This record gives sequence, C-alpha cells and structure tokens, in this order.
Amino acid sequence: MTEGTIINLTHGKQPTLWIYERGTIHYRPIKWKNWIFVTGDPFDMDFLERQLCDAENICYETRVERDVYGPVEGMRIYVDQRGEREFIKVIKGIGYGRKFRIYNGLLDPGLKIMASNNLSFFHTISPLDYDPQIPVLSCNVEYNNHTWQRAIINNRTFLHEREAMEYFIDTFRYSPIIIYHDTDHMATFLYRMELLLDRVIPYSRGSGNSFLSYGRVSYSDPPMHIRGKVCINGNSFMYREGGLNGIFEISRITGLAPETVCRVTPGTAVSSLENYEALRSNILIITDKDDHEEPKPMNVFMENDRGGYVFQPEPGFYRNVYEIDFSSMYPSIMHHFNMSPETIGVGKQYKLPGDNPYSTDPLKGFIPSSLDILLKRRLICKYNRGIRKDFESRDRVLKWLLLTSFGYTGFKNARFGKIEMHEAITSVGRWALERAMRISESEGFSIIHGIVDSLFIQGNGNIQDLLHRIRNETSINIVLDGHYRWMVFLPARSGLGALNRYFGLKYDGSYKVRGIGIRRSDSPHIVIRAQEDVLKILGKLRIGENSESIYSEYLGIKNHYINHMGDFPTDQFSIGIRPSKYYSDYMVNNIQKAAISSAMEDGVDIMPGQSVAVIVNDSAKRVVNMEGGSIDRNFYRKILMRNFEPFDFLFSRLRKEKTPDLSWWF
Amino acid sequence: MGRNTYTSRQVMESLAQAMKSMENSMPDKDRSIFSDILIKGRIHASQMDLSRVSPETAFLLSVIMEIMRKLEDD
Repeated sequence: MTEGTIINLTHGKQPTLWIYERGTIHYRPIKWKNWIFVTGDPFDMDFLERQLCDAENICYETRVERDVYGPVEGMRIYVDQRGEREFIKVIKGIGYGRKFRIYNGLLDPGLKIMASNNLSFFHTISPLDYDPQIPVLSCNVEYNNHTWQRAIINNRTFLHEREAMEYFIDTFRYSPIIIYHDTDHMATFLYRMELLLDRVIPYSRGSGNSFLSYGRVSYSDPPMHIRGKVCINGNSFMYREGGLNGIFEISRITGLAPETVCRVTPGTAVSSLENYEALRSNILIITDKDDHEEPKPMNVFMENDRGGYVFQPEPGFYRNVYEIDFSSMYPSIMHHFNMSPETIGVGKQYKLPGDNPYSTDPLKGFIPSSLDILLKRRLICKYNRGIRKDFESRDRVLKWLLLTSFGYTGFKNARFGKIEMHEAITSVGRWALERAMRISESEGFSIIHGIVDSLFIQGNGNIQDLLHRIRNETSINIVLDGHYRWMVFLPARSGLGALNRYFGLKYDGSYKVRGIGIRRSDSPHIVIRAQEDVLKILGKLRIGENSESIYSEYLGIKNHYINHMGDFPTDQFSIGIRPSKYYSDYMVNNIQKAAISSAMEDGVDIMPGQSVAVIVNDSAKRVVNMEGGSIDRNFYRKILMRNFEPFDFLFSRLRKEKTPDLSWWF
Repeated sequence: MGRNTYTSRQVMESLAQAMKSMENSMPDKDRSIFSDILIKGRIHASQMDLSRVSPETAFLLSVIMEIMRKLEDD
C-alpha cells in the first residue's frame, strides 16, 4: 500500500498517515471504521439490540469472533472513535455495569488503525535491515531563567542565540523528526525566535506529570508538538536507553506512533505489543478485565505467592569468580513452558517443573506467540550488537520490554495477565536456579551468591561443561556473564550479606559495580570521582606483590578527599535532590524542602519527582543553593566517609592483622 | 494481584525485630551472644523460600546449622 516509510499517524476526524518518501512527507488519509464488540446473555443482548434499533443511527452486526479463550458470539458495533468512551459508558449503563462484556474498547486509536490495516511504522523487511534514513534535527537549547546560555544543534555548539536560530530554521524545513531535550527551554527558544527573527513555528505543549512507580515518585516532562513534525523527547526513558533506533524499533513492533513511544513506560509498550498482535490476529481484547483470581485457601496462597529465589552471599573477598546468567529467564520460561492465560491451569496435560501446582496445554498460547517476536528480535540484536551500533540500541530497549513482559502478567489491569501465570513463572524460575546450584556443585563449583536468574560461583571446574549441563537440564539458555579476578560482597547494616552491594574486577580489566555511591544518581561528583580513583588503584592489585603499596595509596586517596575538600571546585559537590511532594506538603524543614525553596527563588518550579541539583551550604540550618556558595564540610565529610566504607571493609582485616599483605584472603 | 505476601527475608527480619526487644532486659555478657544468635538465625532466611517450614522453625534451624558449622570449623 505504501512506497515510503510511515513515520507518524494522526487520528482526528480523518486518520492520516505521514509517509516519508524521497525527502518529503506525504499526508495520506486512511479509511477506517472503528468498532467495539459486545457480548452477554441472549436476553440482555436482545434488549441491547432493541435499544440500538431505537437509536437509529448506530450500525451493528451479529457475529462470532474469538478471544484468547475461544469463540465468542455477540455484536460488532461501529462507533466513531471520538465518541467511543461515552458510548461504552452508555452500554455499561444499559447493562448495569455487569451484564455485558465489552471488547476492543479504549485502546490507542493509532494502534487500532495500524493493526487493522496491517501496517507498521518504520517498516523493514527483515530484522537485519537498517532503519530507514530520515533527516533528524536534534536541538538541545539551554536558558537560565530565560537568559540565553548556549545550544547544541546537530552536534554543533552555538554560543549566540541568533546564530543558533538561523541554523535551526535552515535545517528545520528538511527534517521531519525533531529531537528536543527540555520542553521549557525549547518553548522559550521558539517563542524568542518569533520575537527576534519574526519567524513563527507553530507549536503546542502539554503538561508534565508526577507519578508513583515502584514506590518512587517520578516526573515525566511535558510533551511538545511542532506542527508537521514528529517531536521526540530526548529526555524520555526510551530515547535515553536506545536513541532513535530504539524508538523506531519499539514503534515498529508495538504499532505505537514514535511520539507516543517517548511517553510510555516499557510495561505499556509490552501491553501495546500484545494488543497489536491480538488485533492483527483477529483476537478480541477485553476492555475491563473481570477474570479475577480464584479464591484459594490461605496456605495455598502463601505457598504460591512467592518471588524469585535469592541466595544471600557471605560478606567477603573472593577470587576467581564466575557469573552465570539465565538469558531473559522469565520470558524464556513463559515461551518454553507455554504460559498464557488460556493455557495455564490445574489438571492440564503438561505438569510444570518444581513445586508448581499448575500445568499447561500443549497448544501454543497467545503470550508465547507474542513473545516469539520479542525474543527472536532480541536474539538477533544481542548477537550482532558488536557489529552494528543500531543493533546495540535496539537490544537495549528490547531488553526492557522483555523484563517487563513478566511483571505485566501479575498486574491487575493487564489485559492478558493472570496471577496464576505469574506464580507459575516464579516457581519455575526458583526451580531452575535451584537446579543450576546443584549442578554447579556437582561440577566442582561452590556457590557464593544467587539472585533470581544469576549465580556467582567459584571453583576450578569446566565452566562450558557446566553451562551445557544446566541448559540441557532446565531447557533455559544460560550464559557466562563475567569472569572476575576478584569480587567483594559487602555487608548490609545488619552484618548479613547484602544482595545488591558488590564490586569486582573482571579479567578483561573492567569492573562490575552494584549498590555503591558510584552507581547512585544522587551521589555528588566528588564521591564518584573518589570511588573511581580507588577502583583504579585496586585494578593494579596483585596478591602478595603490591598489597602494601596499594593500601598506602588508598589511605592517601582517602586523606586527600576527606581533608582537602577545598581543593575541589564547588560544582563537584552538587547533589541531585528529587522531592517527592509539593513544597506546601512538607511539614518539616528538610533538605528536599530547602531545595524546592532555592529553585523557587530562582524562578523555577519543581514538581514532585523532578530532580534539582543543589549544593548544601549548611545542612543543620537547611541552607542549599542551586548556584553554589560555601560547602558544608561536615556534611560532605560524612558522605565521603560513608562512601569509603566498602573499601574500608575490604582493607579492614588487613589493618586488624597489622600486616600489609592481602594474601591471607586467598 | 502480583506479589502480596512478604518475602522470607522480610518475615525473618520482622521476627528478629520482635525478638530484639528482649535484648534490653539482658545483662551485658548475654547481649552480645543474643545479637550473634539474631544474625545466625537470619543467615539462611532466603532458603526458607524453597521450603514450607514456619519462620520460627527456619530461624532455629539456621542457628543450629551455623553452630554446627562453627564446631566443624573449630
């Protein structure tokens, strides 16, 4: 149907495809009739039909369609997309909210149009193909309180505002895709362009949104639309992870327009992928999910509702450690063991392994079929990411989609979710990790740490033989993720081993670091710099050769950072603060409230979840500043001391032994 | 839906917290032993996930195992 590449879709009164072909965008209207499907008791359906007849101008037909569980008889009702929400409310009203089951309602209209016409954005024939070449204008402008700072446009830096605007206008007309990095600054730029150059670029902006996700308040930037262009938010999660190639890939497989992809979470993207595949396969999608969890005895509930297995490490220093990792464990389980809402249950043909009460059907389910697409594409990208940069970008976003595909099975509003499936997946996961541990031990390895889908093991067995055996016995692919010269597992406050605080040096010279300051987004630069310096000297550590000098070097670094803070520029002390509430909601005067107050003084409104960088001038009096000022040395000293603790732990026994030799560790 | 119940490690933590209140009424010499027991009891908390024993039993088993190991090491 199309010669060029579909880059966008608008769905107002007349849905229109944006097709990029030979340097220009062609706007092609597309014919499409929106419909929903309603089922219910024959008596209720007769009643509904009489109501629809009375309304006169509503088209409908009686049909047999199918959902994931099988054929469904009901009415396909054609309804204008813009009035769909209201229409569904009326149907629910007629059925007292419980008599009718409504399908294919309240879905993303663009997704529906793309799926029902079997179209895809940024279409490629094979997953190995390059993305279509489309000119892009990437614009990162910076204003400080409406005062011009600088701009980086298509990797060129502009220090003069007028010059930046002229270059922007020249490039703008040839670029169907605009990447902006800060909505406020971009809006100021376009507004001032009108004032200074008398050049009007019509744009509109939405509003930002604070939301709670996984117990943390986050903030999504307001979206921006420039008429006739596809606007990509450069600060969006998907863009940060996978760049433009990542956005194109998600758009391609989920049927969501690229502007929408920037706004959605990976979970919504997975849900859209499932919806897109369902619509393309003519499978109905329930609007309001009503297959709730079956009642079960308390002991069954407690036994089944468990997560992944973790094997706590013993804090300490370990040499010659292997990290082995099940690839995409949960999606692979769902795929291999055919887990889908319609296939899983009790008393079915295939019993699931482990302490699982559930079993599955032999016929391939809907979820494994949808995951096929994700898993195959990820595999291609993963194995080719070293060859081409676009594969690396695609791989990063696909990894996120696979990660969330499992979580959505337990989400109450997931249209293809089912809690029994969630429980069965974690149960098989626990079984697989337990099997892997037993096999590792029989192959001459000892277990140091295990968490959900990865194991840290130590020993002199043959690692390839081990991986082969685990693969064969669990049917889940497992790979060697790292081979470490040494690793340190850190203690938690309780003294027990922490699950996610460790660092280790690989044989290739790179580090894997988790849970220490260097990985935290709120760590000041000075902490990151200090830990980088320490890790650098630890990279030279050779047991029994230079342990004494390494320890002395470490003490030198520690002393330099803690006692000579004045030698570092003030911006190194900037801390990212993320308030979780509005200013007026803070009852106590803490650092978060002080940070909002400081931003407000500079004319910047901070929304809950939005990050603001400040320097702490006086922590006792809660004085912080966005610009700079003197630093609170005691406050930063405490932070630095805390961040040297992991390395103190490493050297602690050395000091106790009063011998500058680390060889006893081994 | 999703994960509603506490993890085995959280259960053991709350059990240890409940027992910790005993510590204040103990003489100094017993306190350090008691805190050591509280740590020993939680070392195998995550293994409880693969079993169906009660948290209290798992706590006791963990303490016994750690004492046995220490005896073997000594």
